[in-house]
Amino acid sequence: MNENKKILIIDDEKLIVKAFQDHFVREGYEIEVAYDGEEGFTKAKEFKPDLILLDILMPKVDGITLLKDLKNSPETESIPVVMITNLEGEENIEQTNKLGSLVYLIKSNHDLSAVSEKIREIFKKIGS
Amino acid sequence: MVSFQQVNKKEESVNKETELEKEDLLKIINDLRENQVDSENQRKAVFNILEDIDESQTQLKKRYSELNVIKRLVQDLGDSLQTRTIMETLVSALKEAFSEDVNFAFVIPSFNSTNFSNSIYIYASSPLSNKYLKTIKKSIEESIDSTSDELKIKKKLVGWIKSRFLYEFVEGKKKDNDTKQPLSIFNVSLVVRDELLGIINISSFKSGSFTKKDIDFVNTSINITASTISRLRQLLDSEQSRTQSLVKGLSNGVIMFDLDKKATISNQAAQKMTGFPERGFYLSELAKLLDSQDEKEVVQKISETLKTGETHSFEEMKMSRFIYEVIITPIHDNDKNIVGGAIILHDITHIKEIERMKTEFVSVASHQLRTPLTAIMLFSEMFANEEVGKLNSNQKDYIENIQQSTKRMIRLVNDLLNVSRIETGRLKVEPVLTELDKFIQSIIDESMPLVKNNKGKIIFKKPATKLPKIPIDQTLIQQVVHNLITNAIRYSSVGNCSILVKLERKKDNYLISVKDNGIGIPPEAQVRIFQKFFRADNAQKKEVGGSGLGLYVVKMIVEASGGKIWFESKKGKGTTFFVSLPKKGMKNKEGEVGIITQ
Repeated sequence: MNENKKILIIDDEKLIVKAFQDHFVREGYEIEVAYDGEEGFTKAKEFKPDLILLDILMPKVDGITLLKDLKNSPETESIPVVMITNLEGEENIEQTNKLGSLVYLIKSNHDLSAVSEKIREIFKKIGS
Repeated sequence: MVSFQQVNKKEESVNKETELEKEDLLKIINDLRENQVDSENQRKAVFNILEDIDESQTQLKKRYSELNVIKRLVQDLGDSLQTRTIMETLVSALKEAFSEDVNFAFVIPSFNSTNFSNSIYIYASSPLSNKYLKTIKKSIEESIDSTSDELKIKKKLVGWIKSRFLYEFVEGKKKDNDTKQPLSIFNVSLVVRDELLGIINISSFKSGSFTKKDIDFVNTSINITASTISRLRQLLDSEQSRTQSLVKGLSNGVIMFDLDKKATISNQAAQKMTGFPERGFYLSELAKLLDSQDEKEVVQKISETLKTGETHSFEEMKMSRFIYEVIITPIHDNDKNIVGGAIILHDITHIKEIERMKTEFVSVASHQLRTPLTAIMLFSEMFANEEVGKLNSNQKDYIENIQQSTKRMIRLVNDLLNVSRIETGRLKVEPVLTELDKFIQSIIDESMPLVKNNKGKIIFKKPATKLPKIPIDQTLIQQVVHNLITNAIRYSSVGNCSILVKLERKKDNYLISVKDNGIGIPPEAQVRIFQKFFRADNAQKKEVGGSGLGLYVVKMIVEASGGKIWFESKKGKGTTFFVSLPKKGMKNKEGEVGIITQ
């Protein structure tokens, strides 16, 4: 059911990336990963994902800056972005919402099924 | 030091040659009697003085033991050995020793102009004529002249003081149509350490009233008094210099001020902290160093302290780049009147820095812990969901244990983060207008899965009438109520779990209570139930997952909201927790972070 959906995971925590990747592949998504903000931006343009899972604390370019870049670039501006991080703080949530991310998830508070559920909801909402 | 003029015309006529022996004998008896009266008078006077000395010494002792270092400095503000009191005491002691028709007067010809008293205080045994008063004044003036010569006081100053003398009756009054003059009169001066404190004038309508013995006695009394005062002053001086050097050396800043809120003295630490001089500036200028909000509050509390005598303290105030604990305390004189106050500045910049570092450490450490924990959580979830193959029942059981432990660890880390946020006051409070009943209902709804899991039931009783909206921080209160409900469920037995949540409107507050029929809190655990990391024995047996931080966080939140929390409990019967929230709701508080909900 998720076969033609492509997700890009951008996070420097390799094990977390692996967990998401393995799980989402099994759920039928096509997955690409990037381990820093710079690589993330390149991959977003090349891979043209249907959705991006984006961490905040990352080397080179942090998630919030990358989100800005994504939304300011015509090739990537329409891609829905889900922030998934262990950094809470309402400033961050507000800021990323303003910049155009759809959901802000705290990693340790959401298990895989919860994240999957959120992603399904988003795809349903945008109707693609 | 004594000066006296005596108008003492003693007449004695011894005319009779006969009965010489008898006369002599009578005279001796008379002398003896006089001696007896004299010595009795002297004894009385000495007793009086001793009593006074005794009292001032006890007072002094008491004073020093009671007053702390800072308050001692008050003695700098005024002479605690009031000259007028000394003179009054002296006169009343002398009065005891003389017959009732003797008149007394004293002056305090202070050559320190700020302390100047221009009164001639008069104790008249019967009304005195103008002429009588003038004679007293003249006699006193002569005495001042001779004394000031000895003490090398400027003639000009002496003249100035003399020109300003007025009569003030302490006892008795003036008589206008009379010309009676004193027939016996003499003065004594009280000089302490080269300072003329006062002059006492003793006079009588009768001639020959004062014998040489009388005058000697007065001189003795004066000398005793002078040496006592001298000793007391010395004591006071050494106390003062000790106090001063103590205050000077204090690392805390101390600024003393008078009723006009003007600094009378500040120690070196205070000068360094504020950049203000030792004295002479107004506190309103000083307060400008603070943030405008703090400035207002400090100025207001200083006024309050001067009015009510209460001590006020501020836990934390920023002044330039340092942080201080500020204490405002009143200063009293001997009669317990407020004569000023002191500001104590305690530099807590270092403590705050260490606190900040501790928080930062906890915060960073917790964040660091959360990432690997998340990885464990995610991988074990995939196992448990059999994403990578069927599990047998043992495998399933174990992997679920891993999952539970991981989630518990994540909760603990989150709790630690919350504690560090609350303890350092970084937590922000953002109240929004809320309908309490609906809000509590939503929290109960959220808890339903857990209640059902425990095969329990939960009832919500709310006031029949609609409640007005009040401002509360929903995240914080959610945390409180949710925690209490979760505890109620956790510490009740499966299948017999009935929880009553009540919302009541009281006079000044709203009362939320959560009642369960669970294991209860044993009496020995009740005093410690809100302590960090504390868990009651029976709770530990019942539920292994608790961190001992839940109720601590709840209490901190409730108290930060201006509310109160307490409980009633019986072991084995159940517990009711009460939370009262002020009717006006919570106050907004700026802060860096919110609380982590789980």
